Amino acid sequence: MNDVIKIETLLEGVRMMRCKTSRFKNTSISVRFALNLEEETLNSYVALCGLLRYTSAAYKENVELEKKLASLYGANFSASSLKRADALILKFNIDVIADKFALNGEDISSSALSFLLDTVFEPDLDENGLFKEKNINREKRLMLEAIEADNSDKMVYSAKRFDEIFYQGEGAALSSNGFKEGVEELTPEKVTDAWKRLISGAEVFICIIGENDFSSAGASFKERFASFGRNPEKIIIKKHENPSGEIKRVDEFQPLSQGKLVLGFNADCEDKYAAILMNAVFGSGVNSKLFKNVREKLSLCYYCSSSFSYLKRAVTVKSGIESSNKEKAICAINEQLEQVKKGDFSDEDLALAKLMIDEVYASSNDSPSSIDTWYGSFILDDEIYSVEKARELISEVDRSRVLSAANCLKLDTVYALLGGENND
Amino acid sequence: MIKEIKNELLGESYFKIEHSSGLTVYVMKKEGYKSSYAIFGTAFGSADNHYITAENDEITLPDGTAHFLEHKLFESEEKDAFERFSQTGAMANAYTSFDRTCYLFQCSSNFYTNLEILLDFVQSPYFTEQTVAKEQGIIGQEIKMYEDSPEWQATMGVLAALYENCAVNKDIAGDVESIAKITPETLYSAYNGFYNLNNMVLSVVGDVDPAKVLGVCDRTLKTENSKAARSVVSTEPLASFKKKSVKKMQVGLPIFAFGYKEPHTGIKTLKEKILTIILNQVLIGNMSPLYQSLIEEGLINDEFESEYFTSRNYSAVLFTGTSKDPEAVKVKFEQEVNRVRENGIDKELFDCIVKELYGDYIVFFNSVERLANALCECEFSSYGLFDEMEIYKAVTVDDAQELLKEKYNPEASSISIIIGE
Repeated sequence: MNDVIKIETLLEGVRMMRCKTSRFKNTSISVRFALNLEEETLNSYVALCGLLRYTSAAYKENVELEKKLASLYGANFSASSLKRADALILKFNIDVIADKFALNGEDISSSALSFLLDTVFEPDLDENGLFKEKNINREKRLMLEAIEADNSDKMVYSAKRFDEIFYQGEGAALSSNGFKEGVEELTPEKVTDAWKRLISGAEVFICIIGENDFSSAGASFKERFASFGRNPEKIIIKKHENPSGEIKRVDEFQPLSQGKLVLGFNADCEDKYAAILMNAVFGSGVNSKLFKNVREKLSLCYYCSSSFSYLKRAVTVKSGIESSNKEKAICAINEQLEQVKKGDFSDEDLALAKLMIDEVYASSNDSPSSIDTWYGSFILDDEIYSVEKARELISEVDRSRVLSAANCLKLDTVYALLGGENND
Repeated sequence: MIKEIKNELLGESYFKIEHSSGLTVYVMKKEGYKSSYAIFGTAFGSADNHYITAENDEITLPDGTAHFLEHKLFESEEKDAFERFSQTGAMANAYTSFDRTCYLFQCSSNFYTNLEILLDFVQSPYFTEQTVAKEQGIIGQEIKMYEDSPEWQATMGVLAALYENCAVNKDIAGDVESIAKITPETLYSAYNGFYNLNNMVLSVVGDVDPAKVLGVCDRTLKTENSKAARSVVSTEPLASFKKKSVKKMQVGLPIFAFGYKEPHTGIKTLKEKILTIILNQVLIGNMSPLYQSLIEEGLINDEFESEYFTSRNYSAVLFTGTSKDPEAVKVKFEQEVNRVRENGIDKELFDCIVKELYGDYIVFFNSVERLANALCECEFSSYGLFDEMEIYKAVTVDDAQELLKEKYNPEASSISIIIGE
């Protein structure tokens, strides 16, 4: 593997990762914008994401934009809004086939870069320099339908409700698809302001992966950003805290077949890689305590797994249960955590958890999208680790560090979405 | 017999090996990749629930048997397969669809050990009363999870409306009552019928040594001396079974699926599959005039999708999405079919779509997972992995226009709608 990776700062708050590689059949270019996740601006940013995906100054009708993408051999252009701790990330990504596969010798990679720059920096505005009312109205409908779809999907809905309760008062309580109230109040002015703020104020991370040199890509991005002026806002990520120490317990009832149980723990642990390994021993993967015991041995749920957020210092356990088994499942999950805290796991369990994480990390170099995901995930961090460095850091974690990490966990929230009606 | 199949433009090649055991093995070397992917699959899915054994016995299985068997095969008298894989660090999984069951793993180390585990556990069934009873609980939970999914219920609703007899009208996992009828004997009968190496395929993609893969096969595969069972293809009327089905669930806007059943003529040619995908795009893909007007009228959103649902026992074109008026979407679609039949396909649009599909096809060679699955598909459908490229070069508007004459028959159509309670 002869990939060459270069990371540079183009402007204040604008970094670019360039991975020159001939291993893949395509070129991937993405730009991520990180902003504080706030109720006042969230819906405007979500609408903006859809608007920029749909038309641009050059392609005022969506059908024209889609035909342009098709002419670039089915370039895959996506715009998504994602949540990362208390930050909202808007990501714009274009994937095209490598130039060598063009049937008529076209320079597809350069066209893809220009297309991405034009859609983000030159949207379809009216004579007053505002996003068009007609397009905003279409976007409002699509947003409302996406929010409704989230509510229909019980796994998504339960995760969303859990976040609202667990992270109450923090940015992470909000959903990256926006919220229903306030969608109708979106105006061309609000959305246009959000677009300007996005380009001048967001923390930006660009990833370019492919064979082409892209020697002028940095300059192109720099020029576009500089023309708007840069005044990056500070992204504030707060560790999740529960000062009262009281456990929040919420049960909700809906007509459904399978109940959803979500547990949230404070994990005030600075030792990131120890906590990642602890999470693997506890509840991530088929060798974890939750999988082996709560699912396989006790048959209490179809799925039961945990995840760890270093930025929020939180561990979340999600499971699908028979509604009547709620209390049994809570006890079983807590029991497994107590065992991890006491060190009741073998050296083999620890080695297998390390091996599992290593496998996941090692495969992160195997596609343009996984390389993009790896580097893009550092948008909120000052320091960027390579896959190899992260593998090394995990391999160095020992049992005592895992125990310390586990003993940072405190149960904070128990949320259950149950079938039937509340009989309390 | 070992055959190497190459494509110069893509710079890719793979081996197709007819192993002496009866198994067909595909190996594709991807240099520089850390992870490798292997799939061991059988042409036995949930729709193969009625069959004739090699001894000429006719058997009907309870719904959900293929999926149940998939779950149970991971167990053995000693360590279960998940446990064995977790010790090597591999990520193992399996899936059952209407027409196949596949067991797979992905790993970045210990590949040959993992391959040995895969071949071993799939060839070592072990079912007891106790383990079957335990699994009924776990699968019951899985069934309930799907019961709460409106998208899945809409898709199952349209299949149940389209098909009167073919078992695609039943959920892949069956239901709580049908899986209660499954016994160790049921599982052994299905296993012996279909987990026959002549009916199976192994596909391996990654930075692996084909000779070593064959070495593992030589050591692990048990030579197959009997014939596989034959699935009985049910007779299906040309017209759809029911025109419409409606179900109430907790949803906001209605979620729908509508589809057009096609007469059973065995496995479709790759050219027909590709042309059908092109036609779907011409008629209601995101560059089509109809899609654009449906979006502007607020009748669909960007979740709208089309699929050519086809295998050896069934074929249908399906459309799924969310709409305030699903039936209006179907009516407008059929009007568009008639318009395009009369006025002809827009050549510029057709060329755009072919170029788009060609691009998707090239990018697909990046993924070891997708390649391993595609090689399984090649075996089950008798295609070559590089055939698609030749079709994109040769396919014409006239071919599509001709095929359009026989597609999307309203008499053979159904719609399923999930509405709010």
